[in-house]
Amino acid sequence: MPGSSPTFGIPYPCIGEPITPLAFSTFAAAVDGAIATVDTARTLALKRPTAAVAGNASIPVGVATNVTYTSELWDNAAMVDLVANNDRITVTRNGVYMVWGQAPTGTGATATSMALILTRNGTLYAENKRNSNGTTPMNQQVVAMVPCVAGDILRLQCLWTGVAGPLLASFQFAARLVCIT
Amino acid sequence: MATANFQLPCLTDQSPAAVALLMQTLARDIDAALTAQLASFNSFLNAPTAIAISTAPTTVGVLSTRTIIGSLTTQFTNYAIPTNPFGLTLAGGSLGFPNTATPTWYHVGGYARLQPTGAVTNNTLRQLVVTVSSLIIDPSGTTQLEQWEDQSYETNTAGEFLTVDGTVKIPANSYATADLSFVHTNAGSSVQATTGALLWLTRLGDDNPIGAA
Repeated sequence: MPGSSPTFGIPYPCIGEPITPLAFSTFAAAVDGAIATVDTARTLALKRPTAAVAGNASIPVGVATNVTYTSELWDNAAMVDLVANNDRITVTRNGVYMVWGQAPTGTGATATSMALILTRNGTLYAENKRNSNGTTPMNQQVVAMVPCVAGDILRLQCLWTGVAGPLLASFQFAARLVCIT
Repeated sequence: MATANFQLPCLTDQSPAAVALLMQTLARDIDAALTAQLASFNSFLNAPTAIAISTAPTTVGVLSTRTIIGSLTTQFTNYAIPTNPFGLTLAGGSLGFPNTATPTWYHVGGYARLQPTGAVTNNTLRQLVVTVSSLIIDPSGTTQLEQWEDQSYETNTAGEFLTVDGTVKIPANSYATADLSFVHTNAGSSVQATTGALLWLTRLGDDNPIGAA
């Protein structure tokens, strides 16, 4: 009756058992599988799922509008597909994500307030809003840690009040895995 | 004889019994080495993290003093949030950090919507505050480690939406907590932090001296 190691179950013959080529190949296959398991964790540790997008967007006054992007700055986990959907980061692995959105000063409008809204599957998760006298720059950002499951859709919305418009601004939006359980 | 790095045994006797014993030792040594590596990767991938969310509004009257947002429930945690070991009473709505033997850095943040319940006094302050404190036993109480604020001035009745975050070093063997609070100067009505306020923390890393490996 062969024995096996405690965690990965690597099989080995006990003293007195015949040692066959099959015993060696089974041993080697089990070691291979154990290394592959560790390598999966290693790869995830070295390449935490992360995505970042950027783009100039036009936002109408008074309507919370999903920001759209034209550039994929970083994506090591197939979380962004700007051709299919240019307004989102789609989570591909369960976990908690640090999500961050940012907008510098916009043009084309005189804004009296601007909000950046972080949504998960279309529902508000966190928001940052600023009021302005109409001449003060509106640089702002929103950041939150968001529990997600694979398939969850993260979006950044912009809502501003004021006159003229639409508001033209350059946005950035990013998500990074913080922990997996 | 053994290999150079992990000291895995090599065969020195060609008897069948020696081969069987070698394979057993090899299997267990490989298992131990890979188990240690897997544990390290999983620990790195699962930095202690917690998210708390408010399940009821916290309302304070006009021209408030700083008020802690209560009714927090844990939305996510991957560690056992420590309980107060000294029997000291903390104001409701705090989130405990893991207790560790070494100084550790954390990223901490919060979000809240501050909503007047009635009339708005134009251009009055709404301020969201995250405070990180450590319990001390003599004299009993807390010592503040860090505090960050975000603020806005309200001009309408839609409420203000504020987020705040920062990094803090938690001392070794301390029982530290974070809380979320707010201040307003609205004279026309009370203001509430609506349901859904968030308080979160996640470990960044050990406190190595700058330049150390």
